[in-house]
Amino acid sequence: MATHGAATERPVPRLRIQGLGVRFGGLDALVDVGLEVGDGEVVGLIGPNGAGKTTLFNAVCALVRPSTGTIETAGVPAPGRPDRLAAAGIARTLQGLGVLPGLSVLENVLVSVLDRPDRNGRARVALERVGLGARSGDPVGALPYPEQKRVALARALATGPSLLLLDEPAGGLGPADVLDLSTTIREVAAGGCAVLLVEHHVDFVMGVCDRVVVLDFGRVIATGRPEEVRRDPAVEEAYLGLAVDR
Amino acid sequence: MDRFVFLLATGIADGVVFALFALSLVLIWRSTRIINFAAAAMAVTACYLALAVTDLTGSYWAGLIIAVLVGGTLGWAVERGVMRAARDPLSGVILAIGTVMVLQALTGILAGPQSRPAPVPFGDRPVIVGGVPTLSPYDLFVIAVAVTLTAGLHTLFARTSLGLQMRAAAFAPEMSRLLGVPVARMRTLGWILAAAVGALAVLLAVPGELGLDPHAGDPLFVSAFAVAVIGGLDSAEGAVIGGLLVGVLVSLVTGYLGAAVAPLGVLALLALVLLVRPAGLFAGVEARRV
Repeated sequence: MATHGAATERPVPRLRIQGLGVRFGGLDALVDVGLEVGDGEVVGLIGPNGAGKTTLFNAVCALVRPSTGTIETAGVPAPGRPDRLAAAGIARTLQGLGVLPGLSVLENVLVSVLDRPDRNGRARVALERVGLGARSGDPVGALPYPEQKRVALARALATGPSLLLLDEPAGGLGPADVLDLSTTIREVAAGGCAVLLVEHHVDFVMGVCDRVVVLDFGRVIATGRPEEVRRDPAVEEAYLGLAVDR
Repeated sequence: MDRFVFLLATGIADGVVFALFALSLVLIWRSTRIINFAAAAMAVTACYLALAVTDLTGSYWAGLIIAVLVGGTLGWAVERGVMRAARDPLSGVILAIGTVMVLQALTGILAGPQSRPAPVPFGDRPVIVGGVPTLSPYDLFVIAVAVTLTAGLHTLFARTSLGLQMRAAAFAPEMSRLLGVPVARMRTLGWILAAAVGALAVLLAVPGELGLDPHAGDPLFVSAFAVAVIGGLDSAEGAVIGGLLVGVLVSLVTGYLGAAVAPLGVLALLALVLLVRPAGLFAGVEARRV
């Protein structure tokens, strides 16, 4: 199993999770989970269905209450309410489409930056960044699936986040869109943003991430660089072998 | 032909009031997925206070402002005090019906069951144009208020940050919360707006009916509910166009076939729309257009 890196000399990580536990009734969804994401780093969170990946995102976003442990962003406790995430520099995309039906493409992005100066400019820049500048006036429902996912990404990017949480960003995308997505994520990280992503698309994760954390039955079973994790027998048994089988 | 023009004109005047009240139902349905069965009772309660202020001050306009303010306050109180206990749409309906019983009982106890006349700020006799009776000055006033209010609501929802947040909170509350939208506050604001619009609609309708009594809003609620279903419960445009459609239909059927047949005409239209487009004429249009 790969080892956790020593953090004694590193700056305060953008996201630090320690001893995180989440219980749903009698079920332990997460047990003693720890992970860190530094500024400019892309960390992938993988694991079989039901491993607790989205629960971990929900805990960071204050949608579920941890039973144990701490979640800190830049050394301070993460916001306790979901509506304070944006103010704390945290942006998240959701599984699936994650767009607001009934609103236009531009409005879908605008809604995340209403309290910012030059909100229209911000929203348009974010849409240009994901290649949708020309579609800003269209109803979001009129866009094909991959472009709707780009709208959700643009909405997260428009806030200028310091921590970006992406929940299955490559889900349902073709190879060309996955490549575009990888490029965008690397660009965002190069700008200093910490990125934590949950994904089943193993090749995408291994290609875009600096480090990978593997969850199984709510516990971290491996963490390290992609090539280290890929070679880890426990990971192969728990997840990667299954993914190849599928 | 003269008769047709007259019936068309009065139908439009009635229709804009139906549209306003239907708009009040649509505003709440969109944000909470609850049909506000208490809308009429809340509006009538506000109108009783409005008429009391008009009696006291001698000013119709003071009463109109009070109707809007009290309507909005009742919307706030019912949402905060009653509707937040609703765990699902069915319990919301039950709570709304309970609210109707409380408000109608209270207004009945305090004001009595008898109907009382409502004042009008302008003449309500039709103006004769070329020998044909058309709209009265009061009808024109009602149409002007309805058009102004509808345009104002459209501007609020389409052009302002507040409106965008209200729409986002209505369409996808969980996601909106993650984006920093104060969803609960937007919902309360929706109730305040809807109840104020409903109170104004009833105040405008009462002079044309038999007067104000604790049940005076019930017929308007039935018509407006039909309008909202015909137009599409999610669609503000549907409420406006459906209101005009039903207003003109009721007027024409009443004029040519008799008042007793008018409800059947509305029922027939309702059945036809439900058969052809079960979600309403404008369902989904707004979701695609915006």
